[in-house]
Amino acid sequence: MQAMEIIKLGFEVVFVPSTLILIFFGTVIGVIFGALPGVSSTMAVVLGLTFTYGLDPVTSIAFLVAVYCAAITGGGITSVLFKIPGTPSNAPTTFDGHPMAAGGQPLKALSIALITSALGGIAAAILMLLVTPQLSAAALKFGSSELFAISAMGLSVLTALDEGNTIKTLISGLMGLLLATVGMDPIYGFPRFTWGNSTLLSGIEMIPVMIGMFAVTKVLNETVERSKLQNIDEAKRDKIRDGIVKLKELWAMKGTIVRSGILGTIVGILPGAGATIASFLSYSTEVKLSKNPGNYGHGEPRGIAAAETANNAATAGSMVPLLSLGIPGGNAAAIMMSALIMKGVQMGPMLLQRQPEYMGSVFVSMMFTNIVMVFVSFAVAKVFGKVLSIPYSILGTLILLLATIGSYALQNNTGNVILMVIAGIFGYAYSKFGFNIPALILGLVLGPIVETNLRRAIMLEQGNVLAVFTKPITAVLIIVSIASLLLPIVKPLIDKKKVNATN
Amino acid sequence: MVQELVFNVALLIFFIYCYFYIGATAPEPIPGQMDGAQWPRMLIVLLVILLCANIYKILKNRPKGENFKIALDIKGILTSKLFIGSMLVLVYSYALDYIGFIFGTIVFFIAYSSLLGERKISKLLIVSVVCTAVLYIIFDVGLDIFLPRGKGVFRNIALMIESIF
Repeated sequence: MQAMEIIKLGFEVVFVPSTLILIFFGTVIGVIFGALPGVSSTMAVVLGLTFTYGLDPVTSIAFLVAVYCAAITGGGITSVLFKIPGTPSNAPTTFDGHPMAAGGQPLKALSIALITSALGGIAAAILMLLVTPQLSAAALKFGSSELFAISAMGLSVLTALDEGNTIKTLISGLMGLLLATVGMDPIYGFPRFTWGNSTLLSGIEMIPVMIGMFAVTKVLNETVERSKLQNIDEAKRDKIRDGIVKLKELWAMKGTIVRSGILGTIVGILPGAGATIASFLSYSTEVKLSKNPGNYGHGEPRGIAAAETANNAATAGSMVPLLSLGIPGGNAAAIMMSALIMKGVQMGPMLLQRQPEYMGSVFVSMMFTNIVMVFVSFAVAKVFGKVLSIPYSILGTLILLLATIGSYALQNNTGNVILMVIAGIFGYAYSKFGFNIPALILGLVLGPIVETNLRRAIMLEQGNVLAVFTKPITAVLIIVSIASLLLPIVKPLIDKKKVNATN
Repeated sequence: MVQELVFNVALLIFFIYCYFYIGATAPEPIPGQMDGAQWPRMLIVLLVILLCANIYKILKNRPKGENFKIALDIKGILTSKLFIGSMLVLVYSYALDYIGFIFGTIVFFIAYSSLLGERKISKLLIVSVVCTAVLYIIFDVGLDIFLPRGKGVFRNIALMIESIF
């Protein structure tokens, strides 16, 4: 299907008054959630889920995409003004955004962050529109063994999620895969790990687990130890030098914006690697390429542009594997995937062929959101001092209530709320001991795809495992997966050896 | 560190149990196919290896001379914010079916906000009622998500409020 036809379909879905209002609402709550310290972009999508239960799947994804993009951008507000990254992917924005704001130019720092974020999002959405159909068409030729290899590739980024903590991250990913085996066996149809409990027969509900591990865990963390805000002094604002960034200044940063946009999209496409890796990688690339690296960390506009362009570009990038292969490109995409599965949507390469309106609605929603969110963000930034004055004692409780409603409304039963709470408490212990929650979620989401395709592939080859792994595409993908899995483990060892040799 | 060690050992024991449990509950394998127990068992074997490696790492990195004494400070645990917070959320989730969303949420809001440091009771009462009403209107009335009504008198009150909207 041609790109123009997809866009036309997207316009038909999105440019309906009710959907436009919903997307606008999604943008507003996304910016607010993203800007609130302690509410990550993933949690924003999780909390946004509750609003989609009454919607059709196409409108739901358009709405969730709006929340996701806006949350990533909204996170830049607190990074600049309070030196608190609203979402982890906004952390590099604090390096230059806050010094610039504290140096008397908060409006300029904020406008660079918001405008480059929108530019990154728009450019990546266009790239997504061009790449996704090609990838989906190629994936249609894939059989079970290739699909297994692709999902294994998704798992191969596990070691890169927390490089200094490989063992625990691998344990987390494997636990996610094991949790995904709870319930009816997908091929033989017998109960696994249910201990006679009929509720467990349908498996572990992903959404309450995600809500628990992201929202409840975070509130429990804040209950035990509260994060602090570092506000900028309004009196120090330099009213002459401060103002919205000029077009000429943006043009001077075109190289940074283009590089970061491409880098962010590519990182976003890689399953498992998301906006956080994209923004850090882009920031460090710009520092390395700069003629004056010493300026970074002291209010360099390119530093803000690099981080914000890349993190929002990664949001569109993460939708590419989701829409073309049915594999999430990150945590937020994993939640969107769960939401669609819950509504009976068959994810995979056929989605784009049979229902191209999903792709169209995601694209148009992203374009619309990226434009609207700049204005929404400025408005939110203006009143944010007041929003932040909401004490955490109220905000934290509200987050718990939204999480409760989100879990309850899934099937209108409190069983999911209890599951959410247990996941939240377990998540607290899990993160306290250094295990990796996103890795567990990645395993949980990819688990059924990996297992079903592997077993089906072995069945088709009549038990010949070697025949499964020696198929050309499968073999290449598995080699790439193993290399990608081992690289973060081997690289520090090589670096250490080099340092020892030098000494 | 002791807590971390206990957590890892508990996971290790649980997974070893799971290895045997899945073997005992799975049907006989069919030749030429990967049976339903093999995949989880593969994962468990990897998990056991990695957990052993992690436990070794914890033991290796422990400060010299540190003894592994588990001092159970029951009073400390029971009065910790973490325990109280976890219990509040857990009790709230169980109580929703009995006392319903409206009453459960107002009580939970007051209790959890107090735990988070809010001391003004009058403010808490007003905010909890307002927030509950706003959430109820958005989700129950606006989005047709039927929030728990509770049982007995709570159900009657919830039905009465629903009839207003």
